[in-house]
Order: sequence, then structure tokens, then C-alpha cells
Amino acid sequence: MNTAITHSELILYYYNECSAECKAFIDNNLASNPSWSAYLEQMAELFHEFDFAELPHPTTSSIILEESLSYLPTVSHD
Amino acid sequence: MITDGVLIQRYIAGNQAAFETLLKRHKARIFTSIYVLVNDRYLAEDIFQEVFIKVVQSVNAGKYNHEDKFLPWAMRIARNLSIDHIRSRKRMPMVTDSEGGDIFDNIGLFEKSPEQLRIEKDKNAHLRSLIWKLPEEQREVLVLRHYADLSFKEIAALTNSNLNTCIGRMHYAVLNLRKMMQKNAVAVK
Repeated sequence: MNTAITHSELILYYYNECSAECKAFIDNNLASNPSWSAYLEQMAELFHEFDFAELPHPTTSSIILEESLSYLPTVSHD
Repeated sequence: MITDGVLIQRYIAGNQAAFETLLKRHKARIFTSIYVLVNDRYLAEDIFQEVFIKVVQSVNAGKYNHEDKFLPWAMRIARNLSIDHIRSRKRMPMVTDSEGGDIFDNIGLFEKSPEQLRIEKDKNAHLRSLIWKLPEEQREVLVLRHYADLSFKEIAALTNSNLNTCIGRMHYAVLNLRKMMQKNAVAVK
């Protein structure tokens, strides 16, 4: 394993998308590399700030559901 | 948990509740992504509706073959429509409340006090405006990873980019957002 960890690898590590080998290497060496910790903490802090969710208006959802329902066969009660 | 693929199969078989579950499961992620991409509530509502109409049409035409990869597929549609609309659609006049704010920004926040609503609305609008200031490619990767929760591999496929390019764009998006936040904090002081 190359000891020079790039920002890209740290980003993949943050999102749990890096290889198992890379993850193990970072896990084992994080404490002795304060610049890695700082980078990861900055990402966490930033994304905590930007953590919001918006919802569509209920009418929009109703229109979509009406459309989805329109394709389904109507039930006959004969 | 019932997978997206199973929900779609159940919907095709005539189960409307399955589609309702699918919509409920993904609406926040998809709508937030669109809203942050286009930074316009009205436009985001239109695009969101268009996305799911296309979803319904494709599924009923037998064209859905993505099994449990519903979200990347739906986000591809959302992203393409967002880009098309940003480039071609003229801005609609905004309907405002008595304080000059966008009335749609209060939808879905009924349980909070007026003061809480105002603070949250202002904060989210501010954060969206910062993301909007990023270069388009950085904004796109940030939105697709953070709000749509797609993997970098999925983002690379969706944007026809190289994986390392996507990750690089994310790195610069983070750097630029931090600079803007710091500048903002200094300006407030």
C-alpha cells in the first residue's frame, strides 16, 4: 500500500467507498496523521451544515399518484 | 425492507400502494437534489413531477430493467431534466408571502413555530445559494453524492465522467464551500 494517501482516497474513505485495503491502512494510521483527521473532520462539519431535506408540495405528489393509478386496471364489482 | 425492484413489480401487477411506498421512500432525496440543482422551488416542483410521470410511463411501457437500481435511474432522469430546464426555461414570477418570501418554502413545516419556520427557511435558502455559486460540475457531483446519496461510481456513469474526475470535483466543491462559509462568517462579524 502506497503510504501517500490522497484527498480522493480520503473522500472515498469518508463515504465508505474505498477498497478494504485502503480502509484498513487509513484506520491503522489515522491517529498518526493529523492532516487526514483534519480533512475528514472538515468534511463532516461542512456536510453537517448542509444537511437539510426539502419535500415537494402534497399536490405534486397527488398528481403523480393519480398518474400512476390511471395505468392500473379498474376493479369490476359485477 | 422490500426492495425497489419488488415494489415496481408489485405496482406493475396492479398494486398502487407499492408505487406509493416507492414515491414516499425516495421523494425527499430526489426533490432535494432537484431543488438544490436548480435553486428554484417552482421549477423543482415541475421537474419532480415530470420525473415521476416519466418513471410511471416507462415502468408501464415495460421499459424498466434496472431491478433495484431505481434511484440512480430516477436521478439520471432528474439530472437531465434539471440541466435542460436550467438552460432553456424562463423564470416564472414568484408568488410571495406578506414578508416577500417564497410561499412554497413553508410547505411541509407546519408543526414548527413561525419563528422556527422563518429561521429554517432562511438558512436553507442561504445554503442553497452557496451551492448554486459552485461551478456546475462541482455542484452536480456534490448534489448527487450528498443529497441523492449515489456512489461516486454511479455518479461517474450518470455524468459520463471518469471516477477520479468526479472525486476531484467533490474535493474542490468542498474546498470552495468552506471558503464561502468562512468568508460569510467574516462578513457577518
